[in-house]
Amino acid sequence: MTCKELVAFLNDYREQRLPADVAADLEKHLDLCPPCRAYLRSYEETIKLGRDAIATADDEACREMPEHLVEAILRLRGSARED
Amino acid sequence: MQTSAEATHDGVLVDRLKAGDADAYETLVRDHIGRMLAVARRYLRSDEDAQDVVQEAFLAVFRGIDGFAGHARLSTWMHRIVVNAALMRIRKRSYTAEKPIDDLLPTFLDDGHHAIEPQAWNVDAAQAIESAETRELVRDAIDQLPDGHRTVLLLRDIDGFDTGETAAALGISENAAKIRLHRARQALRQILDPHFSEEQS
Ligand SMILES: [Zn+2]
Repeated sequence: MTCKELVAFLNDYREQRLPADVAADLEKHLDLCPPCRAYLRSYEETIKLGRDAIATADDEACREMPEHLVEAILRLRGSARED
Repeated sequence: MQTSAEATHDGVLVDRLKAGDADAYETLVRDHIGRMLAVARRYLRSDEDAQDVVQEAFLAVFRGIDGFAGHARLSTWMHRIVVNAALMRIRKRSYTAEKPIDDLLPTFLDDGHHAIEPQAWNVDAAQAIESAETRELVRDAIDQLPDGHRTVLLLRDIDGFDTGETAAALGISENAAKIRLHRARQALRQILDPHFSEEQS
């Protein structure tokens, strides 16, 4: 397996969707190839960073109370009832 | 899984909504508006669009409440509604062709080796994300992804849609959804790489 193939298979590998022999080849390559190990780890970190950055943004937004929007939405309720 | 306290809270509120209780509507809006806005904002780049979409989503919630059966949590149901409203808005807006993502994908030599060898990152996500600067950096990086890839990344990694749900929400095949997710994460990794790789520090 080449580095290019490993990177292409990476997500299927993480989600355990590769046939056993391909997964074994991939692990053998990982053992011998520091750049691919670095790639895999940084790919995992990327997912976590994305999740965490958005989750904290959500928590900040939860403390917001835009009154004009609340009012506008409550007015919409009237129109929702009419039709 | 919802706790029984949450289920009871939802159940009582839904009953009051179905009965047309004005206070219950105000409670519903105030309890959920912050999170609904946050969700809309991550899909849409303009705050004005996000506010419009939140209004559309609440209208859909008001219209749908009579049919809400209570199998899911109220917040989960509303979350799906605002995500779908945001996707619909993006679809209406993007007449322009998708920006190519190829420039953000790793490149390889003819023999299959990395053209540029990936370096280890000196980052622990849990720790890094404590800094407001890092959070901003990561959110900006996500915003740089082309829409078609960014939405798949948000749906799958952030908003908890599975591959089938993502494909259905975007009108693409499951295979396309899988490929886009992998490419989006690779591109995001590439944008973040200069900030976190060991050579940098
Ligand atoms: Zn390799």
